[in-house]
Amino acid sequence: MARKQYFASTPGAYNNVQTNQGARAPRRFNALDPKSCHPFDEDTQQANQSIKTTQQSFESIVVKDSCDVEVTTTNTQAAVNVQIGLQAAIALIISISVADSDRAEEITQDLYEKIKTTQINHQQTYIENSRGVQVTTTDTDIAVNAQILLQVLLAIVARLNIL
Amino acid sequence: MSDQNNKMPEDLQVVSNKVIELLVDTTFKKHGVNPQEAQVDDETRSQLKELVEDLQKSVESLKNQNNEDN
Repeated sequence: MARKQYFASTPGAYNNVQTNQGARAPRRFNALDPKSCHPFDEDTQQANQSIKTTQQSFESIVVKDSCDVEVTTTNTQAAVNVQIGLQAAIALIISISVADSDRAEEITQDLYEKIKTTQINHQQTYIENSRGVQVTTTDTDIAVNAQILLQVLLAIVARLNIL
Repeated sequence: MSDQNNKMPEDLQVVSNKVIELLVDTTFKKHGVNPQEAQVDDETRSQLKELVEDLQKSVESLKNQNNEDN
C-alpha cells in the first residue's frame, strides 16, 4: 500500500500504461528490468540528424577588492558567426550544384553527420585583493571548427569546378 | 600558450585534409553525383567564388586573432 502511494505522488517519472479501466497505477521505470522503457527513450530516438557542430563557452571573471585590473576576453561570437556562414555556404553550394533538391539535402546531411564537433570551454578567473593585474583569456580551440568546415567547403568547391 | 593550441600541426593538417577529401568524394559517389556535370552559370560562379574567398578570409582572421592574443 505504501508503494502505491509513492508511485502516485510523482506521476511524471513513470510510463503511463493505460488499461481499459484506466485505473491501474502507472509502472515505474526500473533500470534493472531490460523490458522497462525509460520515459526519455522515445525522445532520443527521434533526435534529428541536423548540424551537430556545437561550440559553447562559459566564462566567469570575478574581481573583488582590487584596483587597476585590466581584463581582455576573446569574442567567441565572432567564431560562431563564421561557422554558421560556412555551414550555410556548404548547403548553398551543394543545392546549386545538385539539381534534385531532395538529394542535395541528403548530401548536406550526410556531410554534416560525419563532422560532429563539440567544443566546450570553461574558464573561471578570480581576482581578489590585487592591484595592477592584467588578465587575458583566450578560447584556444575556437578556430578549429571553422578550419574544418572551411576544408570541407574548399573540397566541395574544388570538385564542383566552381573556382 | 603556444600557437599549436589553435593551429593544427602540419602533418595532422595533411591527414585531416585527406580525410575530408575522402569524405566529400565518397558522399558524392554514394549519391551518384558527378560534380563535373554541375551546371553553374558564370555569374553565380563568380558570386560563389567571392563568397568562398570571404569565408576563407574570416577563418584566417579568426586564427590570427587567436594567435595574437596568445
